[in-house]
Order: sequence, then structure tokens, then C-alpha cells
Amino acid sequence: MCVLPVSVAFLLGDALAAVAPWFLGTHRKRLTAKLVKAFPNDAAMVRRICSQYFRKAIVRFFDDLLVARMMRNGGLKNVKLVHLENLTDTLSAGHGAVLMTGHFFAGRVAKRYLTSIGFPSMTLRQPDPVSRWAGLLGRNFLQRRYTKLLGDVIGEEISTTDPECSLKMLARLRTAGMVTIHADVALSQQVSVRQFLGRERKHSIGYLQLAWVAGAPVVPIHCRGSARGLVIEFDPPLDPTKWADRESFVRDATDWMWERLENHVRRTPEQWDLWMRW
Amino acid sequence: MDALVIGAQIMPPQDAIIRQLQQLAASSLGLALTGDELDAMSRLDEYAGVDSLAILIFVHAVEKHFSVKLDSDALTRQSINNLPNLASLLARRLKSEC
Repeated sequence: MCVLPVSVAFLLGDALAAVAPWFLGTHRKRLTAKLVKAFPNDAAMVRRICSQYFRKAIVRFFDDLLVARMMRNGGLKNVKLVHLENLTDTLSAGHGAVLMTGHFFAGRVAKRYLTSIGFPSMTLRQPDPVSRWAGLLGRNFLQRRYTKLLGDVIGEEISTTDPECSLKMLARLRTAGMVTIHADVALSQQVSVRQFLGRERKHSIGYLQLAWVAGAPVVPIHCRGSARGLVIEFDPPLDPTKWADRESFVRDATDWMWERLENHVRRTPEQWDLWMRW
Repeated sequence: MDALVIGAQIMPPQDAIIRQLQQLAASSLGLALTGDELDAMSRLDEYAGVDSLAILIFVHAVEKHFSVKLDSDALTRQSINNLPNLASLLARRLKSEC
């Protein structure tokens, strides 16, 4: 893959993305069962998401492989930043920002792009997430290599197993920096459990404590598309300093977080990575 | 910095700060400790459930109580966990602000 021109490599990826879904019958069935719970009265939507999801997943794989070369060759060309002022205004206050997002296929490329234009962030990440897709060879060999590749794509990251992760993120925010949190998984011990897209799910809320302690606003971001056509949308921030106490902030922000995340997933359900990881 | 008055006792600053840190740790981390257990507390990581997030809550309680903001290089588990170390750090900080 390293010797092919980027455009040729992407053509190969597109060809693979076009045919691969037809060889993933079992996975399609699993995905369909999950989608039906989220969209119970919309069979057409379920079929559409199901046909696009695996294509987008393969496109993302090629993005991961090629984005570093694209950045070296002049960066990403087709990027739209929507309401960037929600981030710049937040950062200008000097308390940093907690970027709250879900696991969307375009997330890693978006982070890489934001770093390249002067908005680097520290990402909290599981060091070696379990993949149900991988077999023995995958778990013991391929996934480790892929995890390392992802680390290279993501750039600055901090492990959930690092006992100092919260303190390091606090230090980062105190220098008016940014941290990125994927709130649609339970990365911290403090979680909130709710109905989400038709199923009961656990989401992290530990980062809300971090935002409160640092006085750092939480900015939801919604990343869509791919390295060849990327959209990063910044929602209005939630400023913890407007709450009188930590408990009420965490309670209100938890409701707000669930609503924002579900809104993002329902807008681009075919781009949400976690359907297959429930 | 002069000695601090806690209750009816006058203590050297370092000991007084340690005593306050012990009380802050117990209250902010929800540790149910007897008086003797509280006096013996010197490291937070000896207590079950004191994870990265709990340390964060403790830092917030300490900063609020002493009206200081810890420097970024002081935000390490080693500095925060060890109450005598944290007390001397705070004592230096409070002294410099007097």
C-alpha cells in the first residue's frame, strides 16, 4: 500500500468497499437486528444504513492507512468546518475545551486535520480495545499492528489505564489546551445508563467531572465523511462555570450529553462505528 | 507563615495542613474513617476506590479549600497521593503568596 499513489490506493479501497458488504452476510444480519431496535418503524432506513455501514467502515480503514501520506502531501483538501467559532470563542476564554464526540468513522481523520491547523488535542483512549470481529490471528497479530497504526493516526493520546490520566488531562486544560473524549462508551468508572437508540447503554460521565474541576467548557463535535470529503461541526459549548455546584452540573450535563450524542448518530447513522460493537 | 489554629490547637503549618488534607480527603472521597484512622492517613492510594477521577475531585477540594491553583507540574499522582509531600508543596505555595 505504501508504494501505490494515494489516488490509486483509494480506488482500490472503493472497489473493495463496493463488493465486501456482499460477503459479510452474518455481520449484516447482526447489524440489521441492532438497527431495527433503533429504527423500529423505518425498514427503508435500516436497509440504507446496512448497505452503507460496511462501505464506510472499509473507506475508514483506507483513510487510516493513507491519511499520514495525505498530510505530508499538502494536507486534506476537501474539508468543511461548521461553526468553528464555537471552538475558537471557547478557547479564547483561556480555560481550554473538552471536545465531546462519539465514535464516528471520520473522527480520527478529523482529529488529525484539526491538529494540522493548530487545534491539537489529547485523546483519552482504551489501549487495546477488544474486537469481536477479529479471530485468533487478528487478536494476536493484526489487531496489535492496527492499534499501533491508529495510535500514529490519532497522535497525542492518553490511555484509560494510566493512573494519572485525569491529572494529565487537567494539566492540559489548564494550559488552555484541549482534550477529546468519546462519550458513547464507558471509559471511566463513572457512567450513566440510559435507553439510547433503542437499547440500554452505558456512557462515560467522568469527563464532566474533569470539565467542572478545570472550568473548561464542553464542545460537542460531529465528524462526518472521510479523508476525501470531511465535515467537522462544532455545537454550542456547555460552560460548567454557569452552574453553582458540581452535582447539578454533572446531572444537567449528562442529560444534555445523551441528547447531543443521539442527535449526532441519528443524523448520520451509517457513520457511527459502534453499531457492531454493542 | 505563622502557625495555624485548628480547633483549640495551635500547630506548625505543615502539620496543620496535613490535618486539613486528611479531612478534605475523607470528605471529598467519601471515606468513612475513625479519628485514629484519619490521623494515620498519609497516602491516598492505600484506600480502595481512590482512582484517577477520585484524585481529581480531591484536587478540586484542596484548591477550593486553600484558595490556590496547583501548578501543572504539581498535578502528578506522586505529588497528590502523598499527603506530607502535598502539604509541604502547599505550605511553600501559601508562604510565597503571603
